[in-house]
Amino acid sequence: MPERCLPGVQSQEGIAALIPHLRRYARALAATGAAPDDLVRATLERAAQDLKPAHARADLRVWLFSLLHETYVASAAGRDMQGAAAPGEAEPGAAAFERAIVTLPPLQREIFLLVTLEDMSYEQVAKTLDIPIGTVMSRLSRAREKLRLMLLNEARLRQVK
Amino acid sequence: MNPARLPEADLHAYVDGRLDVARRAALESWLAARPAEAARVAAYRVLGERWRAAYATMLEEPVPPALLCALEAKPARRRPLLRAAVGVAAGALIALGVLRYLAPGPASDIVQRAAMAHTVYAAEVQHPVEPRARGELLEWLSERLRMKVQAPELHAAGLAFLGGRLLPGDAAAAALLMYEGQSGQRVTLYWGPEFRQARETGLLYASGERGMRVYYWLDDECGYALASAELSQEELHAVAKMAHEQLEK
Repeated sequence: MPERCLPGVQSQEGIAALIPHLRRYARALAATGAAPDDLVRATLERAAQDLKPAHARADLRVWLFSLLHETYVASAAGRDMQGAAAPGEAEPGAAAFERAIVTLPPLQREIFLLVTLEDMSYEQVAKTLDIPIGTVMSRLSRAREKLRLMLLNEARLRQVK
Repeated sequence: MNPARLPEADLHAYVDGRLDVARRAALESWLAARPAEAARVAAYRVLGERWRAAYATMLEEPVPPALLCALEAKPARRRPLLRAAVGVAAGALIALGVLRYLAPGPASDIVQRAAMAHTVYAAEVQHPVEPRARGELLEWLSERLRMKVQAPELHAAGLAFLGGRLLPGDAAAAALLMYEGQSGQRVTLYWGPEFRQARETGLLYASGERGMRVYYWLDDECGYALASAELSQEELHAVAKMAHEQLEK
């Protein structure tokens, strides 16, 4: 199948293979609110527009997730979430721990999910979000501690009831 | 390691399985004397597991066609061949119906092949592998695949190397290495040089019927797929990470 040798086609197939990962991330990020597939669609449209052979050689996943991150931050949802203490909305049916994530600041949420769901290395997370690796580590630590305490409290409350 | 505090970053690298063996051992002995910190680490692990479990099935959901279209929306680059390839791949997969697949392209082909090879040979009791010594076998497979075939060390995951065999691929030879755990559970590592692609993909996951799970990745030399019908996704992921690290270092 010689057509597979075309770099463009190969990257596009590479991108297609990553779509389920982008969707999962978008859904977890918005914790079931804010039309995650719209975020993915906007990301893919940008990817189709910007795709260059260089992206096929570099880390395609990091590039795609960085596009998603930019789209997310630029979107109204992303802006709202950055407002001081405005916790995001989650569907009432979502599990407690899924709701817990919307109380994290967006950057912590992204770092926690890239590490947890995507199993990205800290270097890859830093590249994806365009932040120093030290920031990745400190925010990851805050995110985990906050989630841990929140779920711990919740478990205690349930016991009291 | 005696200090009262150690770098917080190490704790997280430990949770994420990103410490090397020496530092991991040091950290474990440090934690052994500090139950509070050990509990915190355990809680972080549980957090990760809950999120991964909650979203695990999402990777198996079919991609809405609208999203694939978004990718092809730009006519600036002509892609008739891709469209054709997508059509053929989709048709073939619907016909096969063995695995719910993730996306069109070589990735899904290697998943199919690895799953099929696993199904056929892992069930074999008498002759699951070629009757050859490890060194001789790997040398022979390397010759036939025209690349260095290695058997990653998976003892840390409780898997012993059983052997391997040569397989026909689509257009070239492929190989299957088999491992076995203490309770007889089998894991196979499929080598398909025809699935190589310019850029390393990192670990990807696919699952199918009857508990079949596959972790795979492609690099510029070969496509690799670890298949098992008996391990949980978490267990297979740990194995895949081990193999990936050894083969891509």
